[in-house]
Amino acid sequence: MVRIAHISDSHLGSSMFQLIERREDARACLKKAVDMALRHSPDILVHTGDLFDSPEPHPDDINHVLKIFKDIEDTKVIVLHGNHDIPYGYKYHHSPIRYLETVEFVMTTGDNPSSVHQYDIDGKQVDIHLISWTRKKQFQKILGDMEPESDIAVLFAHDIPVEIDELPIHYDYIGHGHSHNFKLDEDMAIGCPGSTHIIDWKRELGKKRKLIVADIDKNGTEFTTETLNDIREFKFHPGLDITGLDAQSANIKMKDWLKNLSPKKKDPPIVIVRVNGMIFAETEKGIERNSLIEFGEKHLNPLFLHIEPNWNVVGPPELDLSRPLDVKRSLEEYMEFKKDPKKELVIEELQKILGE
Amino acid sequence: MLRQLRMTDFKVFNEIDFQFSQGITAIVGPNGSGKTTILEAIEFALFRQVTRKEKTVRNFEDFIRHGRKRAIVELEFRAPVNRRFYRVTRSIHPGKTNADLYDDAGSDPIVSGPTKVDDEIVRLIGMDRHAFSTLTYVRQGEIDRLSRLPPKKRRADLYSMMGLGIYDKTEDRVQKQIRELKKRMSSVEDTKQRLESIKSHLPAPDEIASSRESLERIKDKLGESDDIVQILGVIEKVETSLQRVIDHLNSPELTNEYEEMKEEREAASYLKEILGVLPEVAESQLKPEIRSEAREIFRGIFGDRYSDLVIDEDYNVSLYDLRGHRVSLTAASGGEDVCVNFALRVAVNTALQKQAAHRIPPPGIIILDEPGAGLDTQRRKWLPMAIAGLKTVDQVLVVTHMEELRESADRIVLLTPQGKQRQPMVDVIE
Repeated sequence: MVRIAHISDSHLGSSMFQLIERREDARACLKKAVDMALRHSPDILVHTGDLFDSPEPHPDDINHVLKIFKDIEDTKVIVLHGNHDIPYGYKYHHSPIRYLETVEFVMTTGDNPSSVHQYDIDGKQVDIHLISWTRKKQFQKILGDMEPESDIAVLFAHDIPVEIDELPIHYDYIGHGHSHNFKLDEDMAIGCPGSTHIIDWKRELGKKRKLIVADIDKNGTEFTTETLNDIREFKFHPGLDITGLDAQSANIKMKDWLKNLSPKKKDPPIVIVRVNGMIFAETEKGIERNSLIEFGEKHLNPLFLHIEPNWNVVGPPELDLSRPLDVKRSLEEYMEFKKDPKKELVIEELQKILGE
Repeated sequence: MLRQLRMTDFKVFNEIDFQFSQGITAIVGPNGSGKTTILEAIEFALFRQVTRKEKTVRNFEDFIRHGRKRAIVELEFRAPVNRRFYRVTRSIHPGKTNADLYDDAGSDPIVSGPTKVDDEIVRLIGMDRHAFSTLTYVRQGEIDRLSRLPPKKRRADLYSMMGLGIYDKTEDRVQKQIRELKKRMSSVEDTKQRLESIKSHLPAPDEIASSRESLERIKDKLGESDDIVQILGVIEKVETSLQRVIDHLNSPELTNEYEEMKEEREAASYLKEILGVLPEVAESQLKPEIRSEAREIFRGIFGDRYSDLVIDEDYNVSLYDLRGHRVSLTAASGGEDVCVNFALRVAVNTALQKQAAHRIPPPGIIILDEPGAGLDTQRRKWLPMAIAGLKTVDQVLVVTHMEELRESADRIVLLTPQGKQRQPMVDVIE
């Protein structure tokens, strides 16, 4: 049996809301994911790319990665180049993953978008095919050229830019990253663990991140998964609605909601409130954005409190033109709305002028 | 949407073909490699006009490659009006240009001649050059324009971006009609005055009648004579003249028709008044839509620093940072400025698309000429992605010398100058 532990997308160096603390969180989350993976004693630990958020990572991040990988024994470590690791999306030789390969801590696709390897694991021959970030056409070409020779074959790619039915069936596991949300299709044996921490809250909050462990033998593949929680606590409230309220009531409603949040824990959380609704411009002007945030910070003592204005402003309740850029139609509707007795006359004049 | 551009002896290009497809196409090359020429060729093919550094170029002879006699540009595009493909061919000769427009399949032009082709293309695209370019072209050096403009100009700019210029244009036509009516009415008034003046110099009808009676009485007393016949002749002549003047004064031309013109002028003036009000009504409807779209795009690029983008009644754009403090656009950084302007343009496009019942769909294409200036590396990468995510924009053309923009493109056209006035080498990466 061959055991593969699969993680992805650590984006070291990314920092939500430009918070320096989140850079540390990212490092801690990667460490946590690798430790969790190693507890399963895998033959292969694969990270399917975007280890770093930028091709020029901060020395602290590189150092952290070196520390994590240098102590790994008896497990082959594979790291792909993700789109964030490669300068300009094509200069593979300038990717920081290459440093890790040079010191022989990891294996990657070298200076190329792809590579093919064959190993003896547990007395069995295993084909490992790797595709780093590349363009769709090149991906299709590489995929077409890759032909497994052994009984057990796996494909790791940073991204799968093609439809699932375009993928060959000769792989026992296809693992990819790029998407930050966990997805595992056990029948097709295609898995994406998601990121190791929350990077973009809009896309990832409420979604799952998991370690995927695949056990492959000639009878098929069995999967075990384990949830990867961000080490930071997130409180997310997506549906605060202030429709129709005046500024004062809206301020009170938002304050009340902040008050009702559960009290602080030992690690300060990130709190995100999304405020929806339809309000008048006057209400919007009267919303005390800064004092609301200051109030919430005092009450909750969070690492960060973000109130996202998602409301829409409506004008005074006037006429709704059905086609605002159709002159004649708008004129008719406007004069109808105003009950203007000269309507017929004026429209006739417009038609005459427009030559209709 | 554009499909293909072919240039022959057009500036640095002696013979070249560019295919365009859906998604983001990045045209990348160093300064002077002919990137902007490609955009100029597109603009010329569609509108027989080229805008450079905010000025309209009129002398097209400069576009003919040195040492050649004529330049040809051929462009295939899909008309938003009927979603069919058309092909326009324009040639530049010293002193004149020629144009033909073809149906997608056809080998014979459906329209020929520069002016006729201009008009037909405006009809097919559903907007004129000005509207098209405000909606699609984001030009080099022009991107932070909005924040540099005084509020009144800014409002006018945004109005024209929203396509509300159509009301102004209709208003202009109404004004023209009013002027025409005024002219015609004053000429009628002149005629009337002249006739009245002649009438006042002629005897009144009763005076003529009594003169006739007097003459009758003289005739009764003295009997018929040549003298009397002579005088009667004069009286009759005067009578006829008077009748003519009176008839003319009572003619429909000077009475009913004049009244009709007067009524029409009143209607037209009233129409003009309402046309002045309508854009605001339409705008108050479009603005919230545009604001929420712009906010999404702006936050896609600057969401780690800002939470909101607000457009007030006077069209001042302001931002709110993550601490809830208001930041006026003048106080924002250069890159933020660029991004706001960009977000607004794209938002206008999407907001218009959402007006589903609207007659003319927007062009579905956005052309960005060196859009990354002022943005840091990270944000330059986000820029084309922010637009590509929008469903209304089928096609994005990015012209840039910056490599960062390459990686988010679906298709890269690389231009490399080859020296000795040879045309640049073109590599296409997909």
